[in-house]
Amino acid sequence: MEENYDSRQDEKKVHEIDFDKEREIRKHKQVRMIMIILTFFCTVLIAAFAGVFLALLEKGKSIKDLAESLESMYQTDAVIQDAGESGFPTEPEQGVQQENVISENKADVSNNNVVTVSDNVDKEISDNIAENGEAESVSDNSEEVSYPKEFQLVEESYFDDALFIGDSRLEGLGLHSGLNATFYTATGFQLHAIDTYKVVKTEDGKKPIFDVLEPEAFTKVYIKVGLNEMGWGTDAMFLQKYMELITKIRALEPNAIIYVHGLIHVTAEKSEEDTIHSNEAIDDRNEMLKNFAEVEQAYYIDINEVVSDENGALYSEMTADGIHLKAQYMELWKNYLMAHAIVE
Amino acid sequence: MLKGKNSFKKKIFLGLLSAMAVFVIGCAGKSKEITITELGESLLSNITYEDELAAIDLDTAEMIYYLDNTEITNVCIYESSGATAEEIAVFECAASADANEAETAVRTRIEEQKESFENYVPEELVKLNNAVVIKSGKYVILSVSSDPDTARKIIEEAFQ
Repeated sequence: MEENYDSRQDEKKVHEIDFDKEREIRKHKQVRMIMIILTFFCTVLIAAFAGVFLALLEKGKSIKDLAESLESMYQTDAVIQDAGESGFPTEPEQGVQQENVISENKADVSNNNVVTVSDNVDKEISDNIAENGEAESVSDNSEEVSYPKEFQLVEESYFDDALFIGDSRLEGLGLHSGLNATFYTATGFQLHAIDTYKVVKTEDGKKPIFDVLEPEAFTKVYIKVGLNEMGWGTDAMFLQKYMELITKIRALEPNAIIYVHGLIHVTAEKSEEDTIHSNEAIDDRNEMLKNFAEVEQAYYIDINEVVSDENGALYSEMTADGIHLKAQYMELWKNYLMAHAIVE
Repeated sequence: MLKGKNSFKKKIFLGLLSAMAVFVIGCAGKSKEITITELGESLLSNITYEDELAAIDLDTAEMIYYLDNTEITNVCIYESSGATAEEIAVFECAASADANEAETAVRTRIEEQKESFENYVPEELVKLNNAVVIKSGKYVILSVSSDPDTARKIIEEAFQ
C-alpha cells in the first residue's frame, strides 16, 4: 500500500517536470517571435531613414529644405481642404443664403470658412489648384527663386511701373492717391467676367484687360478683387478664376511681383445689415486669400490693420457709404502700400 | 456811267453787310470768360451730395475721360469715392473745336458710368439719366447729382 503510494508520487513529479519543460520551451518560442518582429520593424525603419537620406543627398538638399517643403505641402493641403469643402450657393440670386461654419483647420492657420455645400465641381477645381501649386513649386525650385521676401519701405516712384487691377474701391485709390501707376479698375468689376468686362479706356472705347495688356509692361501687379464676387459661385470657383488671372498675368508679365490685396472691412453698421458682405465673411475670405497667395508665391497685403477699429470694422468716419474709403484716406492706403513693398 | 456808280455803291453796301454779319456771328460764338474753379466750387457747395467728392488733377482726368487728342487748358473736377456716380467736371479747352471733343468724351463717360452702375448700384442711374451737360464756347460742364435743376441754374448764371 505504501509502495503504491510512493510510485504514484514519483509519477506525479515526472509529470510536473515535463510540464515545466513545456512551459519553458513555449516561453522561449514567444521571446524569439517578439525578437524577430522587433528586428523586422527596426530594419524597415532604418531602411526608410536611409532612403530619405540618400534621396536628399542625391538632390543636394538639406534637412531644412525637407522640413520647408513638408510645411509647404501641409499649408497647400490646408488651402485645398478649405477650397474643396467650402463655397457659396451657386445661385445666390434665387435667395439662397450662404451658410458659414467657423472651424479650425488642421494646419492651425486660422479659423476658416467651411461651408456645408460641396460638390464634384468644387473637388475638380480644387484638384486643378493643387496641381497648379505643385507645378509652380517644382518650376520655382529649378529656378531657385527665393520666396517669400521681406517687405520694405519704398519711394512713391516704385509704383510708376505698377499695374492695379480691381474694383471700385481700388478705382478710388487711382483717382485720389496721386499715384503715377496704371489702374485697370472699374465699378462693379467681377473676376469671373474679366474676359468680357470693359475696363480699360482706349482710343476705340473701353476694352477688356487682356485685350490691351502688353507683354513685359509692368514689374508689379496689384490685384484687389473678391468683395463683388461674394455671393457669386463657390469659394473654389472664385479661387479657380483668381488662379487663372495670375497665370495669365505671369504669362504676359513674367517678371512682375504679384500682390494679392485683402478685402477691406465694411463698417459695423453695414456688416450687420448685409450678411453676405459682413466683416466675418470678409475675414474668412481674406484668410483664404492669404493662403492662396502663399500657394501662388504672391504677396498678401491687408490694409485693415490701419483702417479697422478694435472690433474689426471699418472706421465709420473713413467712409460715406460704409464700404468705399473717402478720398482723404487714400494717403493712408498709399503709405501702407509703400511700407509693404517687395524689392527684387 | 450812272449804272457803274450804282454798282459801286451796291458793292460797298454788300461788303459792309458781310463785315457786320461776320462780326455778329463772331460775337455769338464767343462765350463769356469764366473762372472754372469758381464754377466747380459753386456746384460743389450749393448742391447736396450723398458721397464726399474730392478734386482730381488733369492727368487723372485725362485717364478717366480719355482726352489724349483734345487740348485742355484747365480742369476743375470733383470725383466720388466710388460709392456713387456723383461727379462735377468743368473743362476749359484751347478752342471751341476741342470743347466739342470734350463734350463727346463727357457724354461717353456718362454712358460708361451707366453700364458700370447698372448692376452695382442701380439707384445711381437716376442721377446719370438726369446728368447736366452744357457746352458754352471753349467750356464744357458736367454735373451728376440728385439736384439737376439747381446745377443747371448755377451753370447758366455763371455765363450770364
